[in-house]
Amino acid sequence: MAKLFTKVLVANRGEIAIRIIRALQEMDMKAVAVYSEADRSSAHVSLADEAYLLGPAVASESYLNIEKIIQIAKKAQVDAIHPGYGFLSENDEFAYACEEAGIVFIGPKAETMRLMGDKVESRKTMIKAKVPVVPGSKEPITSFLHAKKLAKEIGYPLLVKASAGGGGKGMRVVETPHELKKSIEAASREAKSAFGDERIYIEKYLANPHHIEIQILADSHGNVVHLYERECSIQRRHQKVIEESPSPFITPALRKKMCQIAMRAAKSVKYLNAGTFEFLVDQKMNFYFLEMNTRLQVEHPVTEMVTGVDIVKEQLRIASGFPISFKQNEVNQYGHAFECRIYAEDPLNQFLPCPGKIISYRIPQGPFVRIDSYLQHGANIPMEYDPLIGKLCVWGFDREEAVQRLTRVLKEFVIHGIRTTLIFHRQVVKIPKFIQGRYDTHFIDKEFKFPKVQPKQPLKDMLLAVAAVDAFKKRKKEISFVEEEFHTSPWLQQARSEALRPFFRSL
Amino acid sequence: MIFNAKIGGSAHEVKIIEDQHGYLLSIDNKQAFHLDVIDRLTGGYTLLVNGKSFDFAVESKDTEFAVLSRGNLFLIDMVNQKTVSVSGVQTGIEKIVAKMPGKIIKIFAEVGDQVKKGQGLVIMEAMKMENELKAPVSGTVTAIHVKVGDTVDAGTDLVMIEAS
Repeated sequence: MAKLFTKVLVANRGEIAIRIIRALQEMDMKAVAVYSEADRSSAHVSLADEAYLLGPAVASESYLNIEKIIQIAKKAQVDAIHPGYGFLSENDEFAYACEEAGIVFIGPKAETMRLMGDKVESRKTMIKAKVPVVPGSKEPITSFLHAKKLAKEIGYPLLVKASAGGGGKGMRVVETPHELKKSIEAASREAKSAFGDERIYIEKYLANPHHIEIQILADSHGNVVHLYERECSIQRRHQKVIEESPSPFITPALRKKMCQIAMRAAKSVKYLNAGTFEFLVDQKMNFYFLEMNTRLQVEHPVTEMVTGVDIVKEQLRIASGFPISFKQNEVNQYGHAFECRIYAEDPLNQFLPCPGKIISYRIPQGPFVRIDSYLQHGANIPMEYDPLIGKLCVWGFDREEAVQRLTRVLKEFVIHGIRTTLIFHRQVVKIPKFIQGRYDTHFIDKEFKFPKVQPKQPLKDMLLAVAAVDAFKKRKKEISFVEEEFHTSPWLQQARSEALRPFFRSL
Repeated sequence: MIFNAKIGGSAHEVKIIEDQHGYLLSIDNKQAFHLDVIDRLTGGYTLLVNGKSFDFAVESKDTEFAVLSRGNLFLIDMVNQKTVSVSGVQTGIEKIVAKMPGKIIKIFAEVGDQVKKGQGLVIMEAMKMENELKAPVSGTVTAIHVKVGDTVDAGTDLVMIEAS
């Protein structure tokens, strides 16, 4: 008989750790947090039932420290570990280590993770399962001659990619045959230094594609369901910034076909738990398998909003040995949802990281709004980790209403203390092609720029006035911060409590 | 306080004092006016001037203020006259300043080195992103204020170069 877990360790930080802790608490499971020295005051620590220190801020000694995490999991006697996304979520060694320690890893089997994590191997597996893949080399490139022959077959432009790659590293677009040799050498060098694996392969480069992914769930009873697609074509430097569901691009027939193929692919690798198949879709509606993410995705809330399924809770049920709690025909894609990723990056300074202290913030409110973040008054956004501080999601009856709501909600959202990508998002939602839903993966590069509006009077004077007021207050706050620290010095506290002692005694 | 402000290419001097009712301001030494402003304490301000309502969201970083007014973005540079460095004229000395808070990963120069304009001198890292800082002029490195492994704030002077 399957039994739900009683205690689960969350091997992550930030908004996703909080997201998982919330699901655990709603399901009456105890949540165990782990944290680095940089995260002692982080919200996931205070929200969890138990929390243990991992080590120094640097990820390799904290959130990537397999040995330490397993040791804490044993000490805290947890039934399972949820890895979230990033960090150890797609690390098969970690999944093996959990298995060995007798702790359930909430995700697929370690073998599946290793198979799908390797670009060359996963591609071969998908071809076997009759999933369309981008035309390209099935094996890593062995020599320049090999590459030249393949390049001729595939045709230019093409893409040179690292087998172990991700995030755009070791990736190069080759437009003409005479660039091929240089690009292969450079990509191979980059791949070796970034991943310790110099294997590369080449594939056809698709012009203006869409990035569309299918969410699936698979349980240990042989059930596989899909939760429709997410359109993730709005990207900056290969990073997703706005996602939506349903996709404004694909047709109902294509959606059905892609979902069926994703389910077939999941079955072919005996997939377990939540996973995502990423596809590139070209202008002629041909779609090609890109990669599989064997974990919970950052953008899972848009799927939750249109389907009503709590994906994290399903993950916990599946990992406990229960079947998926619904049947395929019981789930629909209802209405329209958007997600904006809020990064601690400065859009006015080339999107450079902007870690620091949150002085204050205002969360937008109103119907059909969802915020997943680790915002807190006085929270420190550490420089050691990913710049994602939160996600803003809205739902609307249809796409038009969802866009209007997103625009309104972005105006309400204020974060004070550090620069965030909120100012960027507020401009993106005003671009006509976004409003019309006519965009592809090059949208931001081609369409985005900060508008330069010259202020007229009396607006100009008022702008100067408000900036002066804000600067004035900021300066005063800086002075009072110093005073505050002085007032709460331990010596003063001690002196105060000693002064009060006779008073308490007399009570 | 007195600020040197820059907006849309034009420079202004803004004087501000706090009084019992709020703030008194004077722009470019013109007649001072009282500002009816309510701070929503979250970076948002509402202003009423002769019946016209203004709603601003202000996001600031150092001396740079981004003000959003009904979806339009305006950039204002506000420098407190008191904090302007008095050392003033430093003929020929250019510096490389940290553009973001972060950790120094690599330094490619030593004091006394001849460097060329555009040559990468420092690599910083924050939030898994690297930022290369280049020499603003050709010249001689006269000082390096940081070492590899240091953590610095945005705006910190890193390398001084005497232009040749």
